[in-house]
Amino acid sequence: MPRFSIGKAIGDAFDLAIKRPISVLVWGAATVVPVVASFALILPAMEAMPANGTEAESQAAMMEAMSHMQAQTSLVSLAQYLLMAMLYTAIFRAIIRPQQRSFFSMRLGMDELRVAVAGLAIGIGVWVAVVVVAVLLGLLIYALYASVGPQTAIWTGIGLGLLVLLALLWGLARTSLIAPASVLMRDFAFGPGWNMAKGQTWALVGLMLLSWLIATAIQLVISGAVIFGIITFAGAGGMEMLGDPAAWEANPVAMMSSLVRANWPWVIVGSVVASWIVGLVSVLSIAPFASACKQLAPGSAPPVPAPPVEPSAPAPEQEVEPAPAEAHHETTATDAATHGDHT
Amino acid sequence: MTFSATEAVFEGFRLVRRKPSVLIWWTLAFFVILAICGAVVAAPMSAIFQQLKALEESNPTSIEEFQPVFAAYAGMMAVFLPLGLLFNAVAYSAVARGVLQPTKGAWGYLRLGGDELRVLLVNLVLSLLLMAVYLAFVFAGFAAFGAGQAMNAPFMYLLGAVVMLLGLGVLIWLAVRLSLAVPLVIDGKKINFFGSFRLTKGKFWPLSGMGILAWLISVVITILFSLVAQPLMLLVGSDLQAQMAQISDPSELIPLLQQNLPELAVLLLTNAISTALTLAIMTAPFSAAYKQLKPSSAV
Repeated sequence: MPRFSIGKAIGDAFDLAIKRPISVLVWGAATVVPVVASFALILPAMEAMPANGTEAESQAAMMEAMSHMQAQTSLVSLAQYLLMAMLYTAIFRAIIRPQQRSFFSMRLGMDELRVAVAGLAIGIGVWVAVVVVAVLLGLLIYALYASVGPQTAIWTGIGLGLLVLLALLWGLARTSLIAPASVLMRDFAFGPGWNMAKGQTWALVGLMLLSWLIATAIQLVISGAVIFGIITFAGAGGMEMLGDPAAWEANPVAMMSSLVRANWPWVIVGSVVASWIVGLVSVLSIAPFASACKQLAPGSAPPVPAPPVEPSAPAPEQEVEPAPAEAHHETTATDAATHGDHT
Repeated sequence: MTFSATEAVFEGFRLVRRKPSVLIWWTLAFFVILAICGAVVAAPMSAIFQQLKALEESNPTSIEEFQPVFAAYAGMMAVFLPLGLLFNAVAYSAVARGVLQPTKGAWGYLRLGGDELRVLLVNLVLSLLLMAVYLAFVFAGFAAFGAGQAMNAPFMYLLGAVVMLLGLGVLIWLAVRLSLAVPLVIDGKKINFFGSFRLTKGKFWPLSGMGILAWLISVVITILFSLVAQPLMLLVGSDLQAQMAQISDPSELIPLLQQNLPELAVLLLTNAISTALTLAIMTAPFSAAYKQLKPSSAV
């Protein structure tokens, strides 16, 4: 049975982060920029809203501003969703087809569509399963509570709840290779991705937990540094720079706005640093699974037609790059030279 | 008779690529359909909203006072439902024709004839059947709930929930097994209620996988479309949707729409494009599946 190495998976992720720091920055920006953008859109609107909205007209104005804001934020959320699909695919691509480096491995094509669809499918599937199980479990606990007694009910609830949590982790791990496999095989890979994880599911759970731990540790260290910095700033008399506390209480939004406007270079620097950190965490969470997929692929990939498909191949949704699936890790310099970074 | 779900899933895209004009025809068709539906519904709904408002203010004490509202609603539905069924049949037939009879491309595959009437009948009967089956399970579930309450047997609630979930499963199973009914009727040119069962034997999982994939792809495409359409609408200065969201009194809705007809038209147009895209992406795969699954001796 093919096995994969957790160490190698994590190692590949760190490798990627260290070798391509600018890409890490851009990937982080894909997450951070929409958040900053929505703040940039919301702050002025919130500022314009009067502090007390009791009169009828100011309430109407507030409603109009709010619905305008809602339209803008929903647009930003849609863009965020699109960017997430591109981000995941880019990181998968960076591990699976490292020769396609241009534009920070980001593209907008069939790979992204398949990853978006796979992500949606898994997300909705998990949500439906959790809701159904939660309803049934709840009714079971209630029935036990009413018939046998509270003790039994509570302990059964805890026990079954833990089982459900384990099953959830198992399910997430078993489906974790579907998205990277779709990038690897340039086709929907629900079946192959599911089969690839066979027998390796608990190892994948271990990988999930380990990468989560590492990412959390990094975030803790950095937050610790930030908090230390803030305390130093406050201790060194920096609080006066923030302005009159009474003004903050009266209209916090306007004060925050003016603070941001006055210190906008720092906001930019902060965003850049935050982007790099977010990018690092993303790479550490996402790349190991692409590596695991790559390690598990040769033995369990379905038989692929051997001859490379010519560029004039009929199915136009395939990318023009014709390299067949199993040649991915035998990608030689000639391959890269011939096909280059062409999308 | 091998069936490739992942290939069939993209049939909608292939259809549009083969004949891009269908998008224009179907957008036009949906625009007209939405406009007609709106016109049919506008006056009765307006009256209903007025009546509801009057009732609210007069503090109703019994359900009889709502009778005129129910009657008005029923009257509206008597006109709206058949129209809706007909439009539905025309739309589905057009997509199936686009996949199965690609040469008959006039009017974007839209027709109003025997095919459409057969599809309407088959759709109506099958929908009623599915609804009846599902309601049977729901009632059984409620019966279990009732029994649980009456007999003070709390496990009956769990049973009731299981029965309803089971009903949902049966509904989905039936819907998938019957999913090839429309292409079957269009291709065979005769009424055929349950032929789809035979064709889909043993293919439940690939077909449902295809259906889910097609739905997800249509969701992604709709998101992409909104990303483009929303800013455009905001640019054009149409904040009709924002205005609609602010209305607290429903009886103001129809007059608001009637006063902003140009903006309403733009809204309808974007809606029509979105609907046409979704229809093509979601229903074409089933016709493609039919093509792959039908016995090759058929015409």
